[in-house]
Amino acid sequence: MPDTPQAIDPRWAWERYRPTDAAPWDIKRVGHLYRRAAFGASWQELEAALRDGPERTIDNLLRGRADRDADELWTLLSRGTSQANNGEQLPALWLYRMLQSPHPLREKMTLFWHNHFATSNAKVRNAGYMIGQYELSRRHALGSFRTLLQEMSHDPAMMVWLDTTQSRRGQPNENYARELMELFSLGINNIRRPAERNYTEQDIREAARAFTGWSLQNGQAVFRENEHDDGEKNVLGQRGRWQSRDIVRICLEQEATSFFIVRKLFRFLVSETVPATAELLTPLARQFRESDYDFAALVERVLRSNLFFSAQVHRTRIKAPVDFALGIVRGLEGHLEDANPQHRLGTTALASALDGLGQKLFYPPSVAGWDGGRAWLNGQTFLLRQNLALALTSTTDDRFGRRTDPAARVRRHHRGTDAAQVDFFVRLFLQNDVPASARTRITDYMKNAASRSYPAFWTSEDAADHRTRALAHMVLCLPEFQLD
Amino acid sequence: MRWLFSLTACVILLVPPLSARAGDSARDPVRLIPAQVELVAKLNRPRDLLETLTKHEAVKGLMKLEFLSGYFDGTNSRRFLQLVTYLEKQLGHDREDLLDRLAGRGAAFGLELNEGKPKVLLVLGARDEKTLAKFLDLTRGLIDQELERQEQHVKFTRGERSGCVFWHIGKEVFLAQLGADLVVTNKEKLLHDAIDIHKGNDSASISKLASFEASQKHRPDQSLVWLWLDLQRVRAIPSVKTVFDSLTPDPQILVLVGGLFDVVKRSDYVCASISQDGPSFHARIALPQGREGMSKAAVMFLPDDRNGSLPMLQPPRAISCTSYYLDLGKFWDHRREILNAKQADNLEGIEKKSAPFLGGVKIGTLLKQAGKYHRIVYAEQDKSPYKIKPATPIGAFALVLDMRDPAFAKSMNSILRGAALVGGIQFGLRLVEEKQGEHTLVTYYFPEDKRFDADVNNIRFNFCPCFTHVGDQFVISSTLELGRDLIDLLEKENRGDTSPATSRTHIYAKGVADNVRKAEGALLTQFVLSQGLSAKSARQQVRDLADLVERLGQLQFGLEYGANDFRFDIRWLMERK
Amino acid sequence: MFTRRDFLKRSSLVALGSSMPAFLGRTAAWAQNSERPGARDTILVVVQLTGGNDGLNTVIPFTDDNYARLRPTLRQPREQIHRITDAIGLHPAMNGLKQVLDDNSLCVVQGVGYPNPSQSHFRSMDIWQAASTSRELNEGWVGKALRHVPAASSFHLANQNEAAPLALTGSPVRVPSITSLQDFQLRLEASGSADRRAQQGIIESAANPTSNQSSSLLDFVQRTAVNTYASSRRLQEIGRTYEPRVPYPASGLANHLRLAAQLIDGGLGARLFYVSIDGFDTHAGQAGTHTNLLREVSDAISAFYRDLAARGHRDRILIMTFSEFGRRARENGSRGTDHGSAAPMFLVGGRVRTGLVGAHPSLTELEDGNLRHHTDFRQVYAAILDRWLGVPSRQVLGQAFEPADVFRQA
Repeated sequence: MPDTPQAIDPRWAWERYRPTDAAPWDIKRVGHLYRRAAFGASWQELEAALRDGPERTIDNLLRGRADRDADELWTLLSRGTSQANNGEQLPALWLYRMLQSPHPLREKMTLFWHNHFATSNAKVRNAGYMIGQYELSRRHALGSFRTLLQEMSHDPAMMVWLDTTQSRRGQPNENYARELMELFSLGINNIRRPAERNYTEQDIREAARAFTGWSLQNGQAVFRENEHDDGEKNVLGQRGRWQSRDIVRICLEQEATSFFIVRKLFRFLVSETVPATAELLTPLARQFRESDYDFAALVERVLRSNLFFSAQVHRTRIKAPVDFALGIVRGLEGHLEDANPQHRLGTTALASALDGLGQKLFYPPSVAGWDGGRAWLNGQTFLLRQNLALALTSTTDDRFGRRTDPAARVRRHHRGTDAAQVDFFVRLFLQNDVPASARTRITDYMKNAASRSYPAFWTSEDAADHRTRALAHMVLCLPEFQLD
Repeated sequence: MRWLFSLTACVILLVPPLSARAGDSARDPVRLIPAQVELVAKLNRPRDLLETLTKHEAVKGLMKLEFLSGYFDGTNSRRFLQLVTYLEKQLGHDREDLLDRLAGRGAAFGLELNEGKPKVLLVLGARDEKTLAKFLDLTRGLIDQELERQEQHVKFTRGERSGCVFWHIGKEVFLAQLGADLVVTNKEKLLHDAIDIHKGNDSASISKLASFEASQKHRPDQSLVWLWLDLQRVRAIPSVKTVFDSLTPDPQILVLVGGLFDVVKRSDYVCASISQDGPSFHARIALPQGREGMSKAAVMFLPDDRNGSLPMLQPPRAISCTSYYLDLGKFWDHRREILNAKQADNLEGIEKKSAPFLGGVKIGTLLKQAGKYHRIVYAEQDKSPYKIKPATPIGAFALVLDMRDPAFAKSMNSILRGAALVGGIQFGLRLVEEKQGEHTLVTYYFPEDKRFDADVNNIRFNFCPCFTHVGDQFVISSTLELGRDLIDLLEKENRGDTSPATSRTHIYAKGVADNVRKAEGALLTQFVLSQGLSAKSARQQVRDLADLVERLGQLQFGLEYGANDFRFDIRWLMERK
Repeated sequence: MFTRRDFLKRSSLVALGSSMPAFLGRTAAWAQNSERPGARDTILVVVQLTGGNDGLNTVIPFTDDNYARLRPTLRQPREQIHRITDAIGLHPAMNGLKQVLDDNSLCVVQGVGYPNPSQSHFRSMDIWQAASTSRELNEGWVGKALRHVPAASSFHLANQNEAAPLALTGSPVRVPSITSLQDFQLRLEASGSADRRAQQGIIESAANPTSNQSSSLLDFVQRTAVNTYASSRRLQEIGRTYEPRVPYPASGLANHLRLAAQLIDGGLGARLFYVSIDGFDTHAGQAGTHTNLLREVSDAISAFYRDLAARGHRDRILIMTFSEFGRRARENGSRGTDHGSAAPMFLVGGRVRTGLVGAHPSLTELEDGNLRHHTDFRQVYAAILDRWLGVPSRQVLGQAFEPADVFRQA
């Protein structure tokens, strides 16, 4: 995928994508959509999307499906976890929902917000609060950013995390005020005019006074007048006896906020390498502001855009551990009950593996979240990814068993010959984004492997299955698979 | 090379023999084990063991549980079964028959503990020499093939000693067929010795070792498996010796396990065995030393007569009951001998200081009034007198103390009331004298209208402590319900129905099963998240698991000091269908 | 809490460094640091003695009559004690460290502790690991130090199922917990060697860039892959052919340290190791257990150090031992000792100041029955951070501590 540094026309970039000969609706674009807007896809999903076309597919992804059973199950599991205050179970809990969700885009955007309002249970130490914060983010993940930002100020987990509960009149705690401006809304430097700062230390100090007087009682935020500093504050040029709501409102009135959020979303959904210039982002930022921070509309515009489906942004992100692992599991249908009559893949072991890869959900390393991008890959994590791919495909690993067995999938989709199997996996996992040389080498492997010696007590079916699993593993080890 | 061993071990252990007749010692595979090993184990009846593992009701119940059966359906298990099928085909018999032919006389195992790599020897007593020979060839072939595939550039080479052929890979693995016995080992000397024994030089065999022969009665042929460990030699190993020598238990601990320490120090060996009786199992660990020769400090805490412990108490919903002998009066009398001077002084100081708090009762007096037999009961609660439910349910437990002197009841009465008075101020406890028949239970209730910040989870509503006495038994219980149940049981029990075991514990599966049912929420989340079960399936699993546990009957533990031996018994009494 | 400034600084470092990602290698940031004093590619191995090591019986003031008085059954026979000076010596089981002492590579810092000592295992261990006495401790000193040397790779040499210690929390990249070289191996499910080679060949060759691609991201992934596979091969090779110059004893700690030696010798830029050994909470029957433990620690560290010294790493290596507290001066009635406070720390390396640092705490002027400390442990950390790792100690420790004088002048 060429890395051409040509300038991108902002108007064209955000116009609606319509399939043309130059940019057809092909398996590559389908794969791209599912990788970004969901957590990968199974064979059926890929084929169905190809048939349905972009409009309908994106509609489905935006809307999701209602599923009462899934919701009930979630209530059951989350209640169990929060009652037992089992913080270590939180990652597995959310991973399970991500895997089974009938509305993966919502979970994906909740993950975006989780990284934005990064709060770690290492300090909060209350599974119930963390679940509450997750549910708050999820409610508004495809909703209004204004509402989300307002409510996040009084989310119990956030209050504990950024010491809002310790902020009193006369001793305001600046932590929340600072992060609100620096990380949650404005950002330090103005994106349009990089030499400018969006706020000053004084703004933070004044804003901190507005956040005094809040504490937690029985897991709810309560406001105590007598601990609140109700004097006049001067924040970002506006004077008044501001309270917490007002500060959030003032931040949202700044143009800088719209750019800051839009740029983050760009990096998350569109590309990590294409420069997110102010010029390119302006149409989106304007829409975001003018729609009163309608985040759903923003996401929809991005997903339907020309730029999103262009070659320039194709495979220009590094997969986060969650994307990497769930992409494999969904591809191998580990999440489907009919593929696994006994049971689907459990997520406890997977959560543990993701911890090793550097992404422990609900435990971000700091309030700045996970760096992402190239930081996900170093020698250690790269090797762990390959070994995790092996664990999922080999069927000899106790943690995952035979629930993501490539041989079973190949039988299910009737791929008998070597060539058919190679095609199947390359299309399923990589949507054919594979150099010819690699494909040839893999096909040769299958040919040679058939004539090798196997232990005498293996049946020929055994040997064939073994080859299939090795094939799947090798495809997953291709460098292209690390690219989102 | 580890996988090599696993492969070999798998191949060997897969064969279940038909019902083995008790092998006569002349053909007992154990005889081939040389005397220098410190640990010997034998599977007397591999066939029965395997039948148990596959056909026992409990195992079948386990296999039905989805969350476990997945493990057994893995690729590795399937390959293992394929290996079995392959062997059946090649050797021309099915697996049951093969098992008898290859290991019908039992499988014996010897371990030599060195500083460093342990050396092992495995002997299979076959009934069919020809099939054994074919099996050996086949195994060698498979292993050679695998080594070649792994490009290890080694294979089995032939060797000979005293006219016996053996096969080896370097100095790592040795295989030999000696008559109808198959020998596998990782130390050359062990092989040589086995060959010598086979040729007639019996004196090198472990079966001629004095302490091994002496242990015969603890290694019944009827058992499924037994184990023998030479304590004398193990104690001499330097690192073990260092720990052993410096290991003197706390005097307080000495009171509880002093006898055991003493016996272990004086015993030449220890034996363990597992036998089957219908669906039930009995495991025993035995040491050849007992009361005779025990040090004074240790024997002080054993009963003089055969009354080791009082009968068990099994109230409804009981989870466990422990009954044991502990003479605290004797401890007090001999405190200067057991504790060092400073500790004894300390204790006496505490006695003086605490007397006013204990209603004028001195600790020493109290201990002497108390009896020698104690029982602890743990049971599920059924009905709670409170409306508020605790976040974490805890079962009810009770302590039943034997009284030597009825004045003990009076002393305890004043102490407990005194304590409750103090507690009452803190917690606002309400005293009620409940009646059960002609007995009075002094009961304390927590008030339900007071908030208590230190206990936000309302744990205290698991308890309404009470105490009473029935004849010469003093009862302290954490709930009134259990208190009542115990009164009923104590009135009816035959106190003379004692057991020589000085400590016994019974665990009742029904109580445990009820606990499992109560923990449904947590288990459900576990099953769904770690095994990917659906909610419905997970609920079913919990029920199946609880039902399975309930059918498991009882688990019994008992410790007994004989005159010349010591026994620790574990019995699993499964209910017969 | 990790400040925003650090975060921003770091992201730019990552961006700079990402043009040449090496497996465990060096980046632009690291090169920057090399001018700072003491910041060569020095290596630190932290050995945690879990449970509370009885310092009084480890570093023994054998000429003090009070020693015999306080330890009637636990005292060590004078003639077996390995002398450091005429008045202080090492427990008889510590032959290994005696050898290191003779080699001028052992520094014993006496009387180390902190004010208002806690006698709770958890609280005190947290204090040592976080290098702070605040109420809430969320980050560790090693983790925070790693922020200043982001390119340094570090490892937690873990026992089976051991969780990552607090000391490593707060590092920018998660410190991997490893138990053996197997953890660095690209695993394959192969039916034989030929099959394994074929699979490995395909996976490794796919990492080579093809002629006409120009995606920088794919490039990055491929370079990471190439480096990873190369390092993995090298490590497997080392695992197979590593011949220790000095025989390692057969113990858990020695195994961990041998793994560290293999990683160091592999020249992969590994700079920080953390390992722990448990069992020091000797409330009863201390004599035998403590002897075995001290022997294990002493022999393992000694073998490790001498092995590395023989390979020319003598001046780069520093091994530090610590425990969450010492034990009470007087033994208890069960021939053991209870929780105490001040205790000695060992520093082993080619550049340490040999011998004793600081006087032995008085055996008569006790605080609540415990020895009084005179050196705050953070002073030792400060010396290690400033002078050994080249990391500003003030930022890691939160305040300035006078570094202890444990290193020889350059």
